[in-house]
Amino acid sequence: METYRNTLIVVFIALSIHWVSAQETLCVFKTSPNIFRSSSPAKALGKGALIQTADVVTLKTGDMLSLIDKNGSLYKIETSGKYTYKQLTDHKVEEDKSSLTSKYFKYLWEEMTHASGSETIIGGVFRGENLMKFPIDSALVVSSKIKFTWETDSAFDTYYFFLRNVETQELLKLETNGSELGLFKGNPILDQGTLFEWYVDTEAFPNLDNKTFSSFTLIDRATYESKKEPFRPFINDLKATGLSEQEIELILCEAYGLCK
Amino acid sequence: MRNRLKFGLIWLDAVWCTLFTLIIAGLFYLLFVNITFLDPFEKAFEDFSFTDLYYSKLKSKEGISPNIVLVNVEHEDRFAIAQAIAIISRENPKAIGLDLLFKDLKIPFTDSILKAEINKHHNLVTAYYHTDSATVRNHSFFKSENKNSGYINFDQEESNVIRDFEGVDKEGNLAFAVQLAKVSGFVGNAKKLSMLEGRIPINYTGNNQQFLTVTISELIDQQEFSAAKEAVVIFGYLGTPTGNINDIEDKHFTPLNPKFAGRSVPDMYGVVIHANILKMFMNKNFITKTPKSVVWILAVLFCYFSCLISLKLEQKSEFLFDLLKKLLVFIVAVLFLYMALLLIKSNIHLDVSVILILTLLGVEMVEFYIYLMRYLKSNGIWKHTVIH
Repeated sequence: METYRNTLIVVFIALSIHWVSAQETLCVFKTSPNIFRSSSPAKALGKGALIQTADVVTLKTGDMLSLIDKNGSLYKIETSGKYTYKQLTDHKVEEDKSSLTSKYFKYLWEEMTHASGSETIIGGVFRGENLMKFPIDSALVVSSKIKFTWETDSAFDTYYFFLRNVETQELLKLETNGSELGLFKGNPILDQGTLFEWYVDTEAFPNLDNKTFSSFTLIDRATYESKKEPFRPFINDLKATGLSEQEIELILCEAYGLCK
Repeated sequence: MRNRLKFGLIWLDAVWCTLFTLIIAGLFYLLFVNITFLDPFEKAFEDFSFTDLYYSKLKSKEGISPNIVLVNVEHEDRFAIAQAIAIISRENPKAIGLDLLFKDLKIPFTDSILKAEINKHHNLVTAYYHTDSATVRNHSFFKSENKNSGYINFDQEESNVIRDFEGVDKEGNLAFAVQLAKVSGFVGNAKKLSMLEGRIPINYTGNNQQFLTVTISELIDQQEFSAAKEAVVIFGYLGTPTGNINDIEDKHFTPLNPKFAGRSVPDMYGVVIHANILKMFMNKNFITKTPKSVVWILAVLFCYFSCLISLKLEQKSEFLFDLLKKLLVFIVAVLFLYMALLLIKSNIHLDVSVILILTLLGVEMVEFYIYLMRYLKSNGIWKHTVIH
């Protein structure tokens, strides 16, 4: 009886070990900084980290997470929220299912009809033409009013401001004679989506495909506070030097693109 | 009876036409090889292969390989490299490859740390390369106690595009990726290794975006990399920053180049080529190259059939033949290329260029063959032909 009980215990342990070791995991392929999982709340997810079935991953606005499973399938999450393992696996990136035959004949057709057009080749580089000052490129902005500022050129009186919603591709174009422009959150273009890009030019009709836009993401206050956390030691150091809260927020904005 | 004779004669005419085409093709080939002002054309064709179209434009993206990790060494110093090796080795990977060469000694302190790290791991593979006159290895100070090393040569016989590699050289030395595959258990016994002698086509699965990559600074920040557990980790250069398209140090031309013909920039880092080769071993996904003899037999056969069809068309109606000749050439070219792409998708490499050239030349040569036969027939030199 004793032997039978011991055998059962050994078999149960062996099966449990096998089950645990065979547990599925997802590997972090690419990640934004400061994404955390429940099993390791103090340490941000890094490349190569493994997400277990019991983990819950939290993404804030503007975060992006790419994962791969053992078969090489890719999962991509770009919306804020809390995700269980099962919910992460619901975001599989669909593979290109078109057949070789359709791709081949489509390629032949495009080559015969020159559908792709000819390549634009220029013999130069882009330097210093960006007038944009604030918000800086890739900034995270929380505010009910966004103030855009840019450098001016003494040769020009009029400037053309372009704001594009990256998700909807909607474009706002304004003419102004100053060096700054304020837009409130209620503006229709800012109402949808969170990722935008903007550009200022002295020409009314520049070729926007050749221009380098600056991007920014609208975030909420909670996200702002959580993104500020890693800078806490730096903020404390700045406070110790006698800087005010507003001055510190300005430094965070100008140096790290975290703007309020 | 007359019809049967005529029928038999046309098959014979097709044989002579094929022979005629082969002679003309041979003359053209000698022209290319011997006339120096045609050398640029010869060189341009050396880098070209029809099957590159598959890799460059048509191949579906494969899954990202979680079992191969690429560590971008950027321009980190030897101390950082040693630290990174230590961090990776803590995860117990199957093998660690260093696609790096430490030819000279630098700072004694950091060199000692690196040496200690290299010697600590029995599953670490180092690199060397052959030149015409010598073999270039790490400085003897870094000589590893384990004998796991592999050559990193990608010398190609005729082209600058890296389409194949030599798995085992004549002296029995293993290529770097083959050594990694052996150390990590993907290549078994000596018999399997002996099958890797000679040129082996590389079955490319993707560029650096298809592999899990990490930089040394990321590794040092994180102090861990769980994905390296049971994986094969290769240290090499992947651009500064990773994947920088303007950085061509250790970058080579491969069939995956977006521009598969004409001038372009190198597209793949050396370490990624090793990773692609290793992935072939992991997935046992090798390409079978059709022997040259089979290619030539197919070329002659298809040339024969193209001559036969063209002769029959011409016999039916000269106008029809002239009208349909160009269409026939176009259809044959499209279908042959399609066949080659289908075969490469099934991991069979067939060099269709010779088959295509001879087949299309056969169609074009029919007209000249007819002139020749008419001349020979009218002068009583040759009568056994349906041409009149």
